[in-house]
Amino acid sequence: MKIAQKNLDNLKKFAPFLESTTTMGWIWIAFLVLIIFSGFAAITYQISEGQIVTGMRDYVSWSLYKVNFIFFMGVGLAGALTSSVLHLVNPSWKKPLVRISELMAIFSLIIGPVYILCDVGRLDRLANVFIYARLASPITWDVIAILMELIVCIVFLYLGLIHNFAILRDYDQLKVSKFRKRLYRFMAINYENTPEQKKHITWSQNVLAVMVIPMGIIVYSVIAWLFGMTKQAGWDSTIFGPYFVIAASFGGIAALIIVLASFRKFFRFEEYITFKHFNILANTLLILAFFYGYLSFSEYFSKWYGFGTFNTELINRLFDFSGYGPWFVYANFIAMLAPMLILAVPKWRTITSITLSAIIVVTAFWVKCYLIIIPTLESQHLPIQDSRLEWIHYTPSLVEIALTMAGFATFCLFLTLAAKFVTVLPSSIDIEEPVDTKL
Amino acid sequence: MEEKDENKGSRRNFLKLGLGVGVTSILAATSASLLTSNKAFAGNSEKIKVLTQDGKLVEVNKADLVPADQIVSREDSHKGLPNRKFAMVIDLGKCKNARKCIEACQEGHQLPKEQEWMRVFLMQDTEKTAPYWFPRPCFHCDNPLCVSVCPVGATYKRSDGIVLVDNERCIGCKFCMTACPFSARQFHWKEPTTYTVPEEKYSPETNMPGREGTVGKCVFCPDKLRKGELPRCASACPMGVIYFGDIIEDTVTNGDETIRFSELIKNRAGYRQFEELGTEPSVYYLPPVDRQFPLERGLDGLDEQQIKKYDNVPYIKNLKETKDGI
Repeated sequence: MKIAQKNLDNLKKFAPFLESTTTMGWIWIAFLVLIIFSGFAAITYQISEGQIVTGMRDYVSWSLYKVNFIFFMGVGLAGALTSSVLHLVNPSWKKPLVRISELMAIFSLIIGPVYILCDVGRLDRLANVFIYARLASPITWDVIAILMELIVCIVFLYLGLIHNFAILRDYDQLKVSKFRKRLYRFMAINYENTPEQKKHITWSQNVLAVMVIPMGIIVYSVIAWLFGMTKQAGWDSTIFGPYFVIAASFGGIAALIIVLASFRKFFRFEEYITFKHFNILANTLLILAFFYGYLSFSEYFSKWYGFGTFNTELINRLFDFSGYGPWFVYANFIAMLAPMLILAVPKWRTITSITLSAIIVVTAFWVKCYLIIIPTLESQHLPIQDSRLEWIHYTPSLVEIALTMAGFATFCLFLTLAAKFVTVLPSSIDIEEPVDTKL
Repeated sequence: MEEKDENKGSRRNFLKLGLGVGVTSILAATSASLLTSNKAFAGNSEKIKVLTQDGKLVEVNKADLVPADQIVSREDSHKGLPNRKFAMVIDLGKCKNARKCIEACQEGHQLPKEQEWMRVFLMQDTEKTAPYWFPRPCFHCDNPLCVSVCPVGATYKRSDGIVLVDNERCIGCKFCMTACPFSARQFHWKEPTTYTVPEEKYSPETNMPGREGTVGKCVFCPDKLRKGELPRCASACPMGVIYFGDIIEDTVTNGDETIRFSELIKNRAGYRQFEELGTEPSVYYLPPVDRQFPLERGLDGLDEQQIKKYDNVPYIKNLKETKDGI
């Protein structure tokens, strides 16, 4: 029996998303592509002129690229954790969240490392990372861990999509090009929804879901150790691994709320993504806000109280209200308090308010990444004595800003295109009877 | 002045710091004679005794002798000079920010003006403590974080204590720059234009020519050490601030006087900067006591841009305020 016939009603509802794009949709895609092109122009310019076109100089030698790297990897971590936890716990309401969080994870995990490539001075020698790999370097740990996580996440996503591809393959009325039909056929790898096939897929998914959780934590801890392993003020911290993981989960869950809200609004998924989902994510956000606040407090309080020479300079810089002060307050206090205030009162808890607090948290997470990297590099152990102002204070250049925007645009474009290619809400069309599998 | 410099040179040779000296001078003498009377030796299997780099006396055919290649290849630059452990001692009491070390370094390594491998800081730890001039080369740490974090092994520590960068392997990730607690490393942000050394003559020992997208830093001038000479900064310093030598031999010299390293450190309370970071630097400092010059002398002859560097130092702030007051 063809799988699609079971789900005919739902398929009819969802087919338009796959078959055609509205004018607004095209404008949106064109807008994103334009930003991405400006990013391409920026990176081409940078490669031809050298990194002198960025705002980076000898003291602040890591900048927006690393900020975006840890931001996207953090969002990827939260997406991967959410989808695998949901898969393992298997609550009845999980369906609308699973695939969206998986897609979010994969796209972030793809975009994040690209920023590292932007940051490398000699792209032509990138192969050296494998040829002369030194296991002592946290960068090597990163390369190994990120590649593994990416592979595991892609396979995990694909396993979940096979059923979807099979449905789309078998649905005759779907008005898409022949090429796409063939692609669905190819991607469905002869899946016929037999009990045995189903069992294999679920079993593999379980194994991968179990793997994703520790791997995600390891990957992000290793990223934290890019900083934590050094002696720089503000980075030389033993809690950097867990701090990063908590901060990333916090920011990433907020990103997931925003993505869900966008899908709900622009794809008219009100029926499927309901207040219930937002409510559960809001609870998660609230719990993480407490963790985040606690870790932030213990990190900076002990730095401030102990007044080590180098720490004092950094702390003064962070609390300098003509400089980083307002941003520091935003990233550490407002981000922590906003979900608490908005979400603690049941009356105020609406989808709009939850999304609003998520926007605060996600932007604060980006600012937090910025504050972890740049002020530290501006507070070297030896005084920075240089007459060139742009060497002392970092200001992002247009090239870096263009590439930052291009990263976000790519993220949006990937999600939009994914929603045009597969049905992002598995619950609506796949009927997945529970299969008894034991690990 | 010139005469003095020459004297310095001969004393340097006398000290025979680089162990290559024996070999180099024998080779040089022989090759010179080879050049003049090459034919006379053809077919002649006269043997000659030479000292190898690791101190063995060996016999070779005189006819086989060729002048030694001056450029140390990338592979050879990984090996340190045998039985050496180099160290630098900087006497802060003598430094008057003459900037000759910086200039000699920049000239010797063909660096652009804005790139200073050797830097002189105006240090003042607090408002109430005395300011002093603080020359800072690369510290060539024994626990170098830059070496630990390098993902491709482009920066490495040699047996003689020197930390070098291989410009041809470096991928430009800049991790070593953020990891170095002493801000000793500099990046080629654009294609450098100051180098006249051809690319095929590249050696990590001089780190010339520099290349866009790679990292450079002070190298302790192993090219000079091989010839038994002092690093460029040490020989250029008119005040004899910078002592350089060998911890195994327990000797350091600034070209004028040669002292026992351990005694110098003991008697003058030598210390290392940021000992608490645990990187074990090879550069030692003698505290800025018994100053030979008033601090202001260091500001003489600096152009406005150079003075502007020190604007944040409390001492300079005060100086400016009093001047404005008058």
